[in-house]
Amino acid sequence: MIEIALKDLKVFFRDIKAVLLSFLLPIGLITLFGLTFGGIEKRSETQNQTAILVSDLDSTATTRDVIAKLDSLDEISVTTVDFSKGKDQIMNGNRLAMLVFYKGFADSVESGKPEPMELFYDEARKMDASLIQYALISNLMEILGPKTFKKKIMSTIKTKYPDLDTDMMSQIEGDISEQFAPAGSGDKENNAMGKMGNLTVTSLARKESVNWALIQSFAGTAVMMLLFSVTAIGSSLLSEREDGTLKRLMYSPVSPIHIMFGKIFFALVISVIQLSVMIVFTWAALGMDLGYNLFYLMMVVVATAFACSGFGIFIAAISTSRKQAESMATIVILLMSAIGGSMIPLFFMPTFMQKIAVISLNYWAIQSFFDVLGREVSFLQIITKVGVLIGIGATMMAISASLFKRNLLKVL
Amino acid sequence: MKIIEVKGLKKSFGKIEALKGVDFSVEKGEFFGLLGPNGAGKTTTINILSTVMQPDAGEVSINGFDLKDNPKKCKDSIGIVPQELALYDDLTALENLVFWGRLYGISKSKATDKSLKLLKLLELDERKNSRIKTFSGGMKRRINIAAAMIHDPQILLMDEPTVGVDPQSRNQIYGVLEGFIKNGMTIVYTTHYMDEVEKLCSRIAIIDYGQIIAGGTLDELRGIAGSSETIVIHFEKNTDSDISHLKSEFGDRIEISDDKLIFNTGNSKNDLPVLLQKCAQHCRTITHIAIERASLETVFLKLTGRKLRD
Repeated sequence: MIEIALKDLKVFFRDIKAVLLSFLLPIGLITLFGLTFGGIEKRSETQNQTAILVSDLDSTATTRDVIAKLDSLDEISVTTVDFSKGKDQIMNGNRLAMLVFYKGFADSVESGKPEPMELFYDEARKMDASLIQYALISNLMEILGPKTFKKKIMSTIKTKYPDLDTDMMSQIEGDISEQFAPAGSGDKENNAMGKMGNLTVTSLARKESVNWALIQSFAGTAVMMLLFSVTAIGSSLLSEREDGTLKRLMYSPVSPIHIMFGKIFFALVISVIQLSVMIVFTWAALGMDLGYNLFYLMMVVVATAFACSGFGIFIAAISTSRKQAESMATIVILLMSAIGGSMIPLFFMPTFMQKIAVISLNYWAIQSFFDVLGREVSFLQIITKVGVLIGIGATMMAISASLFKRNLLKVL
Repeated sequence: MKIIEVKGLKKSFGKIEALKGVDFSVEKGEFFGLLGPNGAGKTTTINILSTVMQPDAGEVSINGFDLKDNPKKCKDSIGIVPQELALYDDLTALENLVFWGRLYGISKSKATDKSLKLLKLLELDERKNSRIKTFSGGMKRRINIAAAMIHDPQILLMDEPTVGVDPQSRNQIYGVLEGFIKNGMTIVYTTHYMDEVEKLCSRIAIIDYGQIIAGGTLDELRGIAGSSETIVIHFEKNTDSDISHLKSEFGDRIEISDDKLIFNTGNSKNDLPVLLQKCAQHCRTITHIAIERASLETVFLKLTGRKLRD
């Protein structure tokens, strides 16, 4: 069995194309997906900012003050522009959005009337625009809110209760000002803003600053590419049948099951090497953290390699020719990768798709990598997913062994 | 001493009876030819002898071991040269041979020593470190034989081992095989090439439709077929005379073409004057007369009623 695996390793490493496909292609794809999902390199604040155009048709101290406050925010960068030029830039797809302060904006703020402003955006980038819309509303509320709300309330009181004396009005105005004082100033307990509170959003992870996008890029790509590699290894059994070497192997004293396990052992070794190379590359070149326990990581690597090897042999065992195996494998791998989270992160998918994902090998492997590289879960949780992966591999190998004699050994 | 004994061997694939009770035996040190057209049952017989296929019925004994009871001992006794070039293209000649040797449980050093000896014997020692994919067809065939010899078997089963080999390489292979025989090896050889069997085999079995229809030395087969000699008469072309009616007179014993007549006979002394008289009657101008010993092709045709490649 070992002899067969060693021979296959020798043959594999002499096939430059196979080696390049097995190692460089996945590395290239991990880098590409990492860039796509934003997992590579820590972005600077400037990179995280969304640039918008602002056209100030009111051109008052109030609008200039609002624009300056917007520009000082971490998430937004402002470029003032002429109204018509700004519209052209958006329609040409050069800019995402333009916020326009119309004439009378400052007066409206002072009088408590609705402020004349408008957001123009590129129809082709509706999704991005909705994000900037959200960012603008929340920030404008914070910049203008206290002032405009206070004015509106005072204006309403004056209209409804014209007989109130000046002292009373001053008292009410003082109380309202106190309520709309910025959060963190004065008596926070009795502050309306404080009572209403801002929703504080905090991410929960045992470890801080985990680059999830990079883990997703690595795990998703690595598992998918590994499946392709092991399928090629499994298919080599069919090639050996076509070349006549399988027949000669059967003439030797080696039993058919040993021949099969020789291939599985070879697939396992290649898979472990391939995954390890990808991990080392993603760690060294792209800065992925190796998690909290290298032993757990190796467990996941071996379990994933085992499951994938079982899959490769299974595909070979149910096929009658190399071509058939390759076509079938391509369809199944793409399908599993699509539903299992290799191609698209699971959280992008609808709930029912996320539920279906558990039937794919990719799901268990990717989730295991998330566990050891990011979530830092307990040993029991890791061993559960590792157990599922081992179970998948063992089941496929058992089925392959029973089919091996019937299908693959039809060499005579 | 009988090193291979086959009795009543039967094998069916579904409704197709590939072997219908094959009997033959091979003496130790013999070069035994198994001759038959495609689908006659040669490869099925070889597959059963090589233990990778179970017979439905019958008994096989190899080197004194019963195939059913002792398949491992039988496997160790035989080396098989398959029809295919069953070698790994990306491994060198030496690596291929060592690999096959290791599968028989030979230590790496012994397998290497044996491989180097075989490569020298096959005049390939200078290419020992070249990958198989760089070899010519004939060289690959020789390595294919060496791979079957790596564990020092006593019997060599060869299934059409010279298919697609150039004449020079074929002669080299014949020389090697004759050397094996001189060293006491037993060879069972299947082929389509009649001249190979005539040249190499001391005994021949003709198999057709899953049965051995005749067996013995070439002379014995000639005797069985009743055509130990062949009279070949060449004519001048483009004569108006017609001798085609001779076909109806002599039946299968005669083959007639435009410029040649081939007559199979057990007694050329009696038949030659008759034939010459017939030709003279039809004003044919004879250019050449030859009396040859009947070829295996002729014997095969006589015994099976069809050519080997039918």
